[in-house]
Amino acid sequence: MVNLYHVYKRYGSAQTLSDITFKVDKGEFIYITGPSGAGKSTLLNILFCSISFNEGQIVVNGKNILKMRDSSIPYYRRDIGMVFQDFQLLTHKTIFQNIGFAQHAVGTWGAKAKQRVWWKLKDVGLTTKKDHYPLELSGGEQQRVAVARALINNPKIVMADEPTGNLDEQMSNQIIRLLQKANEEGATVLFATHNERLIENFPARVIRLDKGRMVE
Amino acid sequence: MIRQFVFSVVEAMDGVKSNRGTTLLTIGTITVSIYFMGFFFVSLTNLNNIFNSLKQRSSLVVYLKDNRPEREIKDLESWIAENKDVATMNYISKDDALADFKKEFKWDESVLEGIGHNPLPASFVITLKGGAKNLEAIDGIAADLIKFKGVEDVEYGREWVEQLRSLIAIARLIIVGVGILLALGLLFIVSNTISLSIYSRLDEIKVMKLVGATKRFIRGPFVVEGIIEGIIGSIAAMIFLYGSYLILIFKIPESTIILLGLQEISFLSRATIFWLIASGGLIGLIGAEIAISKVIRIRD
Repeated sequence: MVNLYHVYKRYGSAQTLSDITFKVDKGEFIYITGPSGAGKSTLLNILFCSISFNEGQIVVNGKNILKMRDSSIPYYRRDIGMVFQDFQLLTHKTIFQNIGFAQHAVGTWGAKAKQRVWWKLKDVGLTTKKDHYPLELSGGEQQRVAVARALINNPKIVMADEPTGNLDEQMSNQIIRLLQKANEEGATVLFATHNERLIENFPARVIRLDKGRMVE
Repeated sequence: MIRQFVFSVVEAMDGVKSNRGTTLLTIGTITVSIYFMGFFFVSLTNLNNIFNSLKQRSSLVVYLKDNRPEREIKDLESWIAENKDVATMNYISKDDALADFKKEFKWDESVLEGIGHNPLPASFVITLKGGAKNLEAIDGIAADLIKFKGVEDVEYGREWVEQLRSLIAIARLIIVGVGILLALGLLFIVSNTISLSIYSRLDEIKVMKLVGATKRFIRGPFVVEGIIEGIIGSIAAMIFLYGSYLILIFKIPESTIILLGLQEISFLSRATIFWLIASGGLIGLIGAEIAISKVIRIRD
């Protein structure tokens, strides 16, 4: 599902990623962990085609992302649900609209779209707050909305970049359970975190980075 | 497709509401520029009307040599009368010419003092039918008339008609030149103000990219916003221009209008108004496209 071969990324003279090679099979749940500055976010951003890399090959879902045209990237991204530490919700839209927005962007409209948003809100337990604006919700609730948005288009891969970074343990557990559920339903999950306790509580395969290199 | 369009319109209206300052700036700039373009068009329309009116009123005056045989004048008269392009013909004898002259200069009889004889020639004043009122046709008739033995000269004010025509040609060039400059300036300003609107909504664009929106989908609301601002700006320009036109016709004395040979000072035709409004929309669209292509890169 996700294959990296000797991937290097440099920012000027700083080597952010060095010789990263690993494979993630379809339906796997993996942690990408390591201290701050290890290269976790860089790695996910490369996989999401937000930033380029200098050397190596990456094949995701059968697509070589180095050879991908700009016009193909939006369609490639539709197979990936992305969750960030800072939620990245639109504060002037209700949470229903925030999730609906993701549907419209991929061409799903009308009753079908609304129904799907409703079910996704139900999955994350926020139907009663559907008309609230993001800033009216707690951090945990906002992240649940972000997870719902990431999952609304049934992505094949879910990438989460420190999704629990701003949350307490209880909220963090809620988020990881939502992602585990998505994984059980077939999504491959790449979960970047530096939270060792979380990894201990919800064990899965770990790829550990340190100073841009794979150490585990 | 329709839903995407509706979505773009709704998002564009959101953008207009939430970025009132930049929206007003864009609309204001478009208004001023389209106003000036419209002003030039009104001027050109009326210059054309003056030109046409003067052409309509223009006539050929065939001056006759003195003391020519009666037969020569009769031949000339019948040639003129039989010419299919001639609408009216009026013979003015030497005596009539003198009488007219005296009538015209009755306030200064000294003009003719010291001249013992009547110096004014007899003439035919000819007006032409509508189809023959272009300069080339008049040239042809004048060339035929000058060939008659009894004809001294043919006068039809070719020089000033040509001067006026050149003036209108220059005015057209100026309008086209100024129009292009205004359009380029407008594109620059509109694209920059729409860029401001885009920068203020980068979070939205980021989310769109996050969920796999295509570039076309992302640019939709901004393009619609550009078109809306362009159309509103040009409609406002037309309203201001019409207001200025009303003030102008109120200020210009009727006698001046009649003197220019016009029935009235014309405003823009409906077609021109439509095209000016449409060009405002088009400038908004192109300005938005430029702004988007500068700001949005899919690989980020």
